[in-house]
Amino acid sequence: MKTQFRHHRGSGSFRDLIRLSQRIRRRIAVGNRSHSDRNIRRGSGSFRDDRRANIHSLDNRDKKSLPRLVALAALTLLTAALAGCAVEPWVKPYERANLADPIMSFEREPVSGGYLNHVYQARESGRGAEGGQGGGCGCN
Amino acid sequence: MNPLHAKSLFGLLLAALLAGGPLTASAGDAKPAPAFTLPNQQQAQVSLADFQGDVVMINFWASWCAPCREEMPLLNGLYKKYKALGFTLLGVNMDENSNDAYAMLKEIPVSFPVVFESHGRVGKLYGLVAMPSTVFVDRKGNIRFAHAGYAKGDEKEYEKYIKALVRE
Repeated sequence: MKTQFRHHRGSGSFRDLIRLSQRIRRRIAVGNRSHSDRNIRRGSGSFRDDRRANIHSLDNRDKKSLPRLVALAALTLLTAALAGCAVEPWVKPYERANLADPIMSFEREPVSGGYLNHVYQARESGRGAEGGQGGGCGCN
Repeated sequence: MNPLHAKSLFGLLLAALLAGGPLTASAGDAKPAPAFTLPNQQQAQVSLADFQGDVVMINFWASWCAPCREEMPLLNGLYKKYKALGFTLLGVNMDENSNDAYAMLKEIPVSFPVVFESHGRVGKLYGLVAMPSTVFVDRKGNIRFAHAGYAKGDEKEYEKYIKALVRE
């Protein structure tokens, strides 16, 4: 334990890592701020107002177009359905031959895989998304 | 139209599109079993109507489905036990490539009739929600019970249904 710590300190990699993560965090914080905020802070006078006006109109347009988009999507679906072009987004249980193929499973050995997943669950304090049971035939 | 309304309309539309076949009806409802005609291993056409007057247990299976493999010998046992009482079991194989099914039948031979559906049409007709799926048709040709999937011990439930329908 002691030697490991000294090794990190000696090479400086640990401190470098912290510095890097701080830099990344700073960059993310900047990225999360919307463009408008940044422009407003930087800009001045009439230019800033113009920008703001532009942004407001854009927002309004977005709000209006969402239901219109949904309606359009619904209409497209309806037309497709009426035209006899059925929308079948999901694989039916009897079409799962390829999904049930052993090559599609995450683990080759389900038993040892289960133990490994148990270790991960304890370590990460979270579980799930480890692939389904039953070979993907939709029976469970 | 406010977005919430739009969303609910969209949901309704999707639900209407995806509304399933007879299996969405609850068990116990009498509904005529959709008719189908499919080839057996000898390429002779077999219809569901051929078994009219018998209690028919339609079992949908595939070679890639592990529980189907597990229940196959048990189904064969049920068929042998009850066939004298006007009962038949009709296996409907859903493999895209029927050769896979032939290979499995060589491995696990069964004595009940098996037909082969490689396009999934009958699966759609019956609105299957799982593999394997089992449908019980009474002597009048109505679907009386439906069972999705197979877990150890389900064969007892099958037997219960068969006994009830055979007595009618």
